[in-house]
Amino acid sequence: MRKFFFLIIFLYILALMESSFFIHFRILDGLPSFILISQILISLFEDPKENRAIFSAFVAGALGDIFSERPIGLSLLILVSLSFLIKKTLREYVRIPALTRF
Amino acid sequence: MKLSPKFKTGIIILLVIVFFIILNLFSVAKSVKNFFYWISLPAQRTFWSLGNSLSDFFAALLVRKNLREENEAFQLRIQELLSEKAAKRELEKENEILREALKLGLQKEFELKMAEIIGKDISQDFLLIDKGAKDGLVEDLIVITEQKVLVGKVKELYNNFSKVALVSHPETSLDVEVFEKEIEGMVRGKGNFHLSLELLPKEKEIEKGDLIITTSLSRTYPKGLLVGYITEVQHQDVEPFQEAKVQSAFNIGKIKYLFIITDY
Repeated sequence: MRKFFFLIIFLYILALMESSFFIHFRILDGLPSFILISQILISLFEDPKENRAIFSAFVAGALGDIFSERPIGLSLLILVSLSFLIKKTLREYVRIPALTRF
Repeated sequence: MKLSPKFKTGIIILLVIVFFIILNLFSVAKSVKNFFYWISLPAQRTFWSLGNSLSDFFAALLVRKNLREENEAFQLRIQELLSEKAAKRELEKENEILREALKLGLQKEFELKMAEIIGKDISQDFLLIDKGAKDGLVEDLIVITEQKVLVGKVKELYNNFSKVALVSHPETSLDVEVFEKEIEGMVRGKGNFHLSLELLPKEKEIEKGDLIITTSLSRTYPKGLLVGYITEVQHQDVEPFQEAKVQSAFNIGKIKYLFIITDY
Protein backbone atom coordinates (compact mmCIF):
# COMPACT_ATOMS: atom_id res chain seq x y z
CA MET A 1 0.00 0.00 0.00
CA ARG A 2 2.84 2.36 0.90
CA LYS A 3 4.48 1.64 -2.47
CA PHE A 4 1.29 2.69 -4.27
CA PHE A 5 1.15 5.91 -2.26
CA PHE A 6 4.78 6.80 -3.06
CA LEU A 7 4.19 5.90 -6.71
CA ILE A 8 1.25 8.33 -6.93
CA ILE A 9 3.26 11.12 -5.25
CA PHE A 10 6.23 10.47 -7.56
CA LEU A 11 4.06 10.57 -10.71
CA TYR A 12 2.23 13.70 -9.52
CA ILE A 13 5.51 15.55 -8.96
CA LEU A 14 6.78 14.30 -12.34
CA ALA A 15 3.65 15.59 -14.12
CA LEU A 16 3.97 18.96 -12.36
CA MET A 17 7.65 19.23 -13.22
CA GLU A 18 6.99 18.31 -16.83
CA SER A 19 4.56 21.19 -17.26
CA SER A 20 6.39 23.80 -15.13
CA PHE A 21 10.06 22.93 -14.68
CA PHE A 22 11.46 20.85 -17.53
CA ILE A 23 9.97 23.09 -20.20
CA HIS A 24 12.76 25.58 -19.48
CA PHE A 25 15.32 23.03 -20.63
CA ARG A 26 14.18 22.25 -24.15
CA ILE A 27 16.65 20.56 -26.51
CA LEU A 28 16.25 21.10 -30.27
CA ASP A 29 12.73 22.49 -29.85
CA GLY A 30 11.56 19.37 -28.06
CA LEU A 31 11.28 17.76 -24.68
CA PRO A 32 11.02 14.06 -23.92
CA SER A 33 7.94 12.91 -22.04
CA PHE A 34 9.31 11.89 -18.66
CA ILE A 35 5.99 10.35 -17.70
CA LEU A 36 6.14 8.03 -20.71
CA ILE A 37 9.80 7.15 -20.08
CA SER A 38 9.19 6.44 -16.39
CA GLN A 39 6.18 4.31 -17.27
CA ILE A 40 8.15 2.23 -19.78
CA LEU A 41 10.92 1.72 -17.21
CA ILE A 42 8.47 0.71 -14.48
CA SER A 43 6.79 -1.78 -16.84
CA LEU A 44 10.14 -3.21 -17.93
CA PHE A 45 11.74 -3.60 -14.53
CA GLU A 46 8.79 -4.71 -12.47
CA ASP A 47 8.36 -8.42 -11.86
CA PRO A 48 6.27 -9.66 -14.86
CA LYS A 49 3.89 -11.40 -12.46
CA GLU A 50 3.08 -8.15 -10.63
CA ASN A 51 0.49 -5.72 -11.96
CA ARG A 52 1.61 -2.54 -10.23
CA ALA A 53 2.77 -1.08 -13.55
CA ILE A 54 -0.80 -1.13 -14.90
CA PHE A 55 -1.98 0.89 -11.89
CA SER A 56 0.99 3.21 -12.32
CA ALA A 57 0.12 3.66 -16.04
CA PHE A 58 -3.44 4.55 -15.07
CA VAL A 59 -2.31 7.23 -12.61
CA ALA A 60 0.48 8.54 -14.88
CA GLY A 61 -1.88 8.78 -17.85
CA ALA A 62 -4.55 10.59 -15.85
CA LEU A 63 -2.05 13.09 -14.43
CA GLY A 64 -0.44 13.56 -17.84
CA ASP A 65 -3.83 14.39 -19.34
CA ILE A 66 -4.79 16.75 -16.50
CA PHE A 67 -1.62 18.83 -16.86
CA SER A 68 -1.76 18.98 -20.65
CA GLU A 69 -4.09 20.10 -23.40
CA ARG A 70 -5.17 16.56 -24.25
CA PRO A 71 -8.65 15.28 -23.34
CA ILE A 72 -8.72 13.32 -20.08
CA GLY A 73 -8.35 9.61 -20.79
CA LEU A 74 -6.26 9.69 -23.96
CA SER A 75 -2.79 9.29 -22.42
CA LEU A 76 -4.33 7.09 -19.78
CA LEU A 77 -5.57 4.57 -22.34
CA ILE A 78 -2.34 4.74 -24.33
CA LEU A 79 -0.13 4.22 -21.27
CA VAL A 80 -2.26 1.42 -19.85
CA SER A 81 -2.25 -0.36 -23.24
CA LEU A 82 1.50 0.14 -23.60
CA SER A 83 2.17 -1.10 -20.10
CA PHE A 84 -0.09 -4.09 -20.65
CA LEU A 85 1.69 -4.96 -23.92
CA ILE A 86 5.13 -4.70 -22.32
CA LYS A 87 4.09 -6.89 -19.41
CA LYS A 88 2.42 -9.46 -21.66
CA THR A 89 5.50 -9.62 -23.90
CA LEU A 90 7.82 -9.99 -20.91
CA ARG A 91 5.57 -12.57 -19.29
CA GLU A 92 5.18 -14.78 -22.36
CA TYR A 93 8.22 -14.33 -24.54
CA VAL A 94 11.16 -12.96 -22.51
CA ARG A 95 13.27 -14.65 -19.90
CA ILE A 96 16.18 -12.65 -18.48
CA PRO A 97 17.22 -14.26 -15.19
CA ALA A 98 20.06 -11.79 -14.56
CA LEU A 99 17.77 -8.74 -14.82
CA THR A 100 17.09 -7.24 -11.42
CA ARG A 101 13.44 -6.54 -10.83
CA PHE A 102 11.76 -4.72 -7.97
CA MET B 1 -24.91 -17.81 -19.53
CA LYS B 2 -21.29 -17.61 -18.50
CA LEU B 3 -19.18 -14.86 -20.07
CA SER B 4 -15.61 -15.60 -21.13
CA PRO B 5 -12.80 -13.60 -19.42
CA LYS B 6 -11.83 -12.01 -22.77
CA PHE B 7 -15.39 -10.84 -23.33
CA LYS B 8 -15.53 -9.41 -19.80
CA THR B 9 -12.24 -7.54 -20.34
CA GLY B 10 -13.54 -6.18 -23.64
CA ILE B 11 -16.71 -4.92 -21.94
CA ILE B 12 -14.68 -3.23 -19.17
CA ILE B 13 -12.40 -1.51 -21.70
CA LEU B 14 -15.40 -0.34 -23.70
CA LEU B 15 -17.05 1.03 -20.55
CA VAL B 16 -13.86 2.87 -19.57
CA ILE B 17 -13.62 4.45 -23.03
CA VAL B 18 -17.31 5.49 -22.95
CA PHE B 19 -16.76 6.91 -19.43
CA PHE B 20 -13.89 9.11 -20.63
CA ILE B 21 -15.78 10.25 -23.72
CA ILE B 22 -18.72 11.33 -21.52
CA LEU B 23 -16.31 12.96 -19.05
CA ASN B 24 -14.81 15.08 -21.83
CA LEU B 25 -18.11 15.92 -23.50
CA PHE B 26 -19.50 17.60 -20.41
CA SER B 27 -17.81 20.20 -18.21
CA VAL B 28 -16.79 17.57 -15.64
CA ALA B 29 -13.31 17.29 -17.20
CA LYS B 30 -12.87 21.05 -16.89
CA SER B 31 -13.85 20.96 -13.21
CA VAL B 32 -11.40 18.11 -12.59
CA LYS B 33 -8.59 20.00 -14.32
CA ASN B 34 -9.48 23.20 -12.48
CA PHE B 35 -9.34 21.38 -9.13
CA PHE B 36 -5.91 19.89 -9.88
CA TYR B 37 -4.55 23.24 -11.10
CA TRP B 38 -5.87 24.84 -7.92
CA ILE B 39 -4.24 22.37 -5.53
CA SER B 40 -1.02 22.36 -7.57
CA LEU B 41 -0.72 26.13 -7.89
CA PRO B 42 1.93 26.71 -5.15
CA ALA B 43 4.06 23.80 -6.38
CA GLN B 44 3.73 24.84 -10.02
CA ARG B 45 4.74 28.40 -9.18
CA THR B 46 7.80 27.13 -7.35
CA PHE B 47 8.80 24.76 -10.16
CA TRP B 48 8.28 27.49 -12.77
CA SER B 49 10.48 30.00 -10.89
CA LEU B 50 13.11 27.35 -10.14
CA GLY B 51 13.22 26.19 -13.76
CA ASN B 52 13.42 29.77 -14.95
CA SER B 53 16.37 30.59 -12.67
CA LEU B 54 18.23 27.37 -13.46
CA SER B 55 17.77 27.67 -17.21
CA ASP B 56 19.02 31.28 -17.03
CA PHE B 57 22.08 30.08 -15.13
CA PHE B 58 22.89 27.32 -17.64
CA ALA B 59 22.14 29.57 -20.59
CA ALA B 60 24.58 32.12 -19.16
CA LEU B 61 27.27 29.42 -18.92
CA LEU B 62 26.68 28.35 -22.51
CA VAL B 63 26.79 31.80 -24.02
CA ARG B 64 29.63 33.10 -21.87
CA LYS B 65 32.15 33.13 -24.72
CA ASN B 66 29.87 35.30 -26.83
CA LEU B 67 29.08 37.72 -24.04
CA ARG B 68 31.73 40.26 -24.94
CA GLU B 69 30.60 40.56 -28.55
CA GLU B 70 26.98 40.67 -27.47
CA ASN B 71 27.77 43.29 -24.87
CA GLU B 72 29.36 45.54 -27.48
CA ALA B 73 26.39 45.06 -29.78
CA PHE B 74 23.99 45.85 -26.95
CA GLN B 75 25.94 48.97 -26.02
CA LEU B 76 25.52 50.20 -29.58
CA ARG B 77 21.86 49.27 -29.52
CA ILE B 78 21.39 51.15 -26.22
CA GLN B 79 22.93 54.23 -27.77
CA GLU B 80 20.63 53.92 -30.76
CA LEU B 81 17.62 53.50 -28.49
CA LEU B 82 18.62 56.46 -26.36
CA SER B 83 18.86 58.67 -29.41
CA GLU B 84 15.52 57.30 -30.65
CA LYS B 85 14.04 57.96 -27.22
CA ALA B 86 15.26 61.54 -27.28
CA ALA B 87 13.74 62.04 -30.72
CA LYS B 88 10.50 60.42 -29.57
CA ARG B 89 10.37 62.64 -26.49
CA GLU B 90 10.49 65.66 -28.73
CA LEU B 91 7.61 64.26 -30.77
CA GLU B 92 5.66 63.48 -27.58
CA LYS B 93 6.08 67.03 -26.38
CA GLU B 94 4.80 68.28 -29.69
CA ASN B 95 1.93 65.83 -29.54
CA GLU B 96 1.02 66.88 -25.99
CA ILE B 97 0.91 70.50 -27.03
CA LEU B 98 -1.31 69.64 -29.99
CA ARG B 99 -3.65 67.54 -27.81
CA GLU B 100 -3.89 70.32 -25.30
CA ALA B 101 -4.69 72.68 -28.09
CA LEU B 102 -7.39 70.42 -29.48
CA LYS B 103 -8.65 69.52 -25.98
CA LEU B 104 -8.75 65.85 -26.89
CA GLY B 105 -7.32 64.48 -23.66
CA LEU B 106 -5.53 61.20 -23.31
CA GLN B 107 -7.52 58.04 -23.07
CA LYS B 108 -6.49 54.67 -21.86
CA GLU B 109 -5.59 52.48 -24.76
CA PHE B 110 -6.85 49.22 -23.31
CA GLU B 111 -8.61 47.80 -20.29
CA LEU B 112 -6.28 45.20 -18.89
CA LYS B 113 -6.22 42.37 -16.38
CA MET B 114 -2.93 41.05 -15.08
CA ALA B 115 -2.28 37.31 -14.82
CA GLU B 116 0.60 35.12 -13.75
CA ILE B 117 1.97 32.24 -15.85
CA ILE B 118 1.91 29.03 -13.85
CA GLY B 119 2.50 26.36 -16.48
CA LYS B 120 2.95 25.51 -20.09
CA ASP B 121 2.04 22.68 -22.41
CA ILE B 122 5.29 22.21 -24.29
CA SER B 123 3.88 20.23 -27.19
CA GLN B 124 1.02 22.47 -28.15
CA ASP B 125 2.03 26.13 -27.68
CA PHE B 126 -0.24 26.72 -24.72
CA LEU B 127 0.28 28.66 -21.49
CA LEU B 128 -1.64 28.23 -18.27
CA ILE B 129 -2.45 31.46 -16.41
CA ASP B 130 -3.97 32.07 -12.98
CA LYS B 131 -7.06 33.98 -14.12
CA GLY B 132 -10.26 32.33 -15.31
CA ALA B 133 -13.99 32.67 -15.78
CA LYS B 134 -14.40 33.85 -12.16
CA ASP B 135 -12.16 36.83 -12.94
CA GLY B 136 -14.40 37.84 -15.82
CA LEU B 137 -12.37 36.35 -18.64
CA VAL B 138 -14.03 34.99 -21.75
CA GLU B 139 -12.63 33.05 -24.66
CA ASP B 140 -10.71 34.80 -27.46
CA LEU B 141 -9.47 37.71 -25.33
CA ILE B 142 -6.09 38.97 -26.48
CA VAL B 143 -3.06 38.42 -24.24
CA ILE B 144 -0.03 40.72 -24.32
CA THR B 145 3.11 41.43 -22.32
CA GLU B 146 3.73 44.67 -20.47
CA GLN B 147 5.73 45.87 -23.51
CA LYS B 148 2.62 45.52 -25.70
CA VAL B 149 3.97 42.40 -27.38
CA LEU B 150 1.28 40.02 -28.62
CA VAL B 151 1.43 36.66 -26.80
CA GLY B 152 -1.77 34.96 -27.94
CA LYS B 153 -5.45 34.43 -27.20
CA VAL B 154 -7.43 32.93 -24.34
CA LYS B 155 -8.60 29.62 -25.75
CA GLU B 156 -9.87 27.50 -22.90
CA LEU B 157 -11.50 28.73 -19.70
CA TYR B 158 -11.70 27.15 -16.28
CA ASN B 159 -13.14 28.77 -13.18
CA ASN B 160 -9.82 30.00 -11.81
CA PHE B 161 -7.47 29.37 -14.71
CA SER B 162 -7.24 29.81 -18.46
CA LYS B 163 -5.24 28.35 -21.26
CA VAL B 164 -3.66 30.80 -23.68
CA ALA B 165 -2.95 29.66 -27.22
CA LEU B 166 0.31 31.34 -28.20
CA VAL B 167 0.60 33.33 -31.40
CA SER B 168 2.78 30.45 -32.66
CA HIS B 169 -0.05 27.94 -32.19
CA PRO B 170 -0.75 26.22 -35.55
CA GLU B 171 -4.38 27.37 -35.53
CA THR B 172 -3.42 31.04 -35.14
CA SER B 173 -3.28 33.41 -38.09
CA LEU B 174 -3.58 37.18 -38.09
CA ASP B 175 -3.29 40.19 -40.37
CA VAL B 176 -0.12 42.15 -39.85
CA GLU B 177 2.01 44.83 -41.41
CA VAL B 178 5.72 45.43 -41.62
CA PHE B 179 6.41 48.38 -39.37
CA GLU B 180 7.17 51.66 -41.17
CA LYS B 181 6.99 49.98 -44.59
CA GLU B 182 3.23 49.69 -44.98
CA ILE B 183 3.50 46.17 -46.36
CA GLU B 184 0.61 43.99 -45.32
CA GLY B 185 0.70 40.26 -44.90
CA MET B 186 -0.43 37.42 -42.72
CA VAL B 187 1.39 35.78 -39.81
CA ARG B 188 0.66 32.12 -39.31
CA GLY B 189 1.66 30.00 -36.29
CA LYS B 190 3.77 26.99 -37.16
CA GLY B 191 3.95 25.40 -33.72
CA ASN B 192 6.91 25.10 -31.35
CA PHE B 193 7.32 28.91 -31.15
CA HIS B 194 7.78 29.23 -34.91
CA LEU B 195 5.94 31.83 -37.00
CA SER B 196 5.87 32.58 -40.68
CA LEU B 197 4.94 35.75 -42.51
CA GLU B 198 2.97 34.94 -45.64
CA LEU B 199 1.09 36.57 -48.54
CA LEU B 200 3.67 39.32 -48.93
CA PRO B 201 3.68 40.90 -52.40
CA LYS B 202 6.83 39.85 -54.23
CA GLU B 203 7.81 43.33 -55.34
CA LYS B 204 7.90 44.70 -51.78
CA GLU B 205 11.26 44.76 -50.09
CA ILE B 206 11.56 43.30 -46.64
CA GLU B 207 14.68 42.43 -44.72
CA LYS B 208 15.95 40.65 -41.64
CA GLY B 209 15.14 42.60 -38.49
CA ASP B 210 11.98 44.29 -39.81
CA LEU B 211 9.37 44.55 -37.09
CA ILE B 212 5.92 43.02 -37.53
CA ILE B 213 2.88 44.64 -35.93
CA THR B 214 -0.83 43.88 -35.93
CA THR B 215 -3.29 45.79 -38.08
CA SER B 216 -6.96 46.39 -37.45
CA LEU B 217 -7.92 44.70 -40.74
CA SER B 218 -9.41 41.56 -39.21
CA ARG B 219 -10.88 43.47 -36.24
CA THR B 220 -9.85 40.59 -34.01
CA TYR B 221 -6.61 42.12 -32.76
CA PRO B 222 -6.01 45.72 -31.67
CA LYS B 223 -3.84 47.71 -34.04
CA GLY B 224 -0.17 48.27 -33.31
CA LEU B 225 0.73 45.29 -31.11
CA LEU B 226 4.25 44.02 -31.71
CA VAL B 227 4.20 40.45 -33.03
CA GLY B 228 7.90 39.85 -33.73
CA TYR B 229 10.72 40.51 -36.15
CA ILE B 230 11.82 38.92 -39.40
CA THR B 231 14.70 36.47 -39.09
CA GLU B 232 14.88 35.11 -42.63
CA VAL B 233 13.36 36.14 -45.96
CA GLN B 234 12.46 33.33 -48.35
CA HIS B 235 12.25 34.21 -52.05
CA GLN B 236 10.87 31.63 -54.42
CA ASP B 237 10.68 32.51 -58.09
CA VAL B 238 7.75 30.21 -58.83
CA GLU B 239 5.56 31.49 -56.00
CA PRO B 240 3.44 34.65 -56.47
CA PHE B 241 4.18 35.78 -52.90
CA GLN B 242 7.27 35.87 -50.74
CA GLU B 243 7.51 34.46 -47.24
CA ALA B 244 9.59 35.16 -44.17
CA LYS B 245 10.38 33.45 -40.93
CA VAL B 246 9.39 35.50 -37.90
CA GLN B 247 10.67 35.33 -34.35
CA SER B 248 8.21 36.19 -31.59
CA ALA B 249 9.16 39.37 -29.77
CA PHE B 250 8.58 37.84 -26.35
CA ASN B 251 10.84 35.34 -24.62
CA ILE B 252 8.71 32.70 -22.95
CA GLY B 253 11.43 31.93 -20.44
CA LYS B 254 11.67 35.53 -19.26
CA ILE B 255 8.08 36.56 -18.77
CA LYS B 256 6.19 35.85 -15.60
CA TYR B 257 3.18 38.14 -15.86
CA LEU B 258 0.85 38.76 -18.76
CA PHE B 259 -1.94 41.22 -19.49
CA ILE B 260 -5.31 40.28 -20.88
CA ILE B 261 -7.05 42.96 -22.93
CA THR B 262 -10.66 42.96 -21.78
CA ASP B 263 -11.67 45.97 -23.85
CA TYR B 264 -10.11 48.26 -26.45
